[in-house]
Amino acid sequence: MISRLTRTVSLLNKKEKRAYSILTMSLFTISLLAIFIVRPSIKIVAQYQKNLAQAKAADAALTEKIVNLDKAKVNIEEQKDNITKLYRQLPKDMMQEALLTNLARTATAYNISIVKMGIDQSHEMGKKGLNSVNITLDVAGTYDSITGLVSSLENSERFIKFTSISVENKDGKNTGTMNITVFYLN
Amino acid sequence: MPTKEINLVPEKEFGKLSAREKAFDWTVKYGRTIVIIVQGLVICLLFYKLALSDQLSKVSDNVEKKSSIVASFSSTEKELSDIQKRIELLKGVKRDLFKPSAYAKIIARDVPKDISLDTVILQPNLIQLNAKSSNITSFGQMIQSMDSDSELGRVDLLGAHLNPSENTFTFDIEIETKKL
Repeated sequence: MISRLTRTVSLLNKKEKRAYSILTMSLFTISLLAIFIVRPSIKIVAQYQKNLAQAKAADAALTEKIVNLDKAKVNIEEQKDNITKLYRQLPKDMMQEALLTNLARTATAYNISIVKMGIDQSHEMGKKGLNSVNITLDVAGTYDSITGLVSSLENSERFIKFTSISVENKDGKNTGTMNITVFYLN
Repeated sequence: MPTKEINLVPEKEFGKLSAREKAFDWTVKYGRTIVIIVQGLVICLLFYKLALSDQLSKVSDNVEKKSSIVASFSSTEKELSDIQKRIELLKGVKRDLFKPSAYAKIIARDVPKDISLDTVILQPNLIQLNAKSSNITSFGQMIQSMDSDSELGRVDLLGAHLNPSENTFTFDIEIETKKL
């Protein structure tokens, strides 16, 4: 390799040798400067550009978030009543006392007597902190009053999910069994 | 008229120069140009970097200010996420919701008045009836109206028998309901 280079150089005339020497030295210097001076500077500038782009993106995201939070605040204020309903439908605790009072009041309003009530232990549903409690209600009253109670419970403030209902008529007396589920957040 | 440079020192041929002289000759003629261009480039980069740094500090200040504004909204953010969570959970439990009152309306609509219901069992998508009547044609009417009811699916007669002592007919019927 070196012998071939030496042979090639020996074939060049003086002018060519001069031109090639200058060119080689220039290219070497340019490469050296590019590697040790220009490259680090470009690297620093590129890093700054990257940081600036990230900061600008964060700035834009924060601006959007502020605008959205501002809107959300207004919306929360406007929907205050609906939000209160939502909190009542799915309360933070079981609120057993309020639930039982509501059941008893509604039953009384429809002339229904609650014969027996069974409350199952709460079950955790999924990982989002939703708990459910199964309640079995044995009631006595007329068929119409039982269906009236069902309709009223369906539309009650606290969300009540019906699993099944059975109504039996024995000797003119109606008895009903309702399996319902109520939910709360943990 | 173009002037000609006067050089009293005879120029040596490049090939005859020593390595040090060659390097000196090259440095004077070309090297300095290259170094100056590179320096210029580096200086330009430096100024660009300074401009970027200035912009970055301004944007960082903005981000800091906006972060503190967002932090002041923390209670709103918490309330909002709580509301969203509740809505999502309620949507989940309300999916395929079984509404017994809608089933009761169907029964009231399709069951003739002279049929008395002994047992009514309402389950999601299913109604089970145990009914009694002295008139067998009323059952026929009931089954016919249930069959033609768009909200109901299949109507199955599970059993029927006559009570000779009461002179009444008792029927067990199972009705599939469509999504209400």
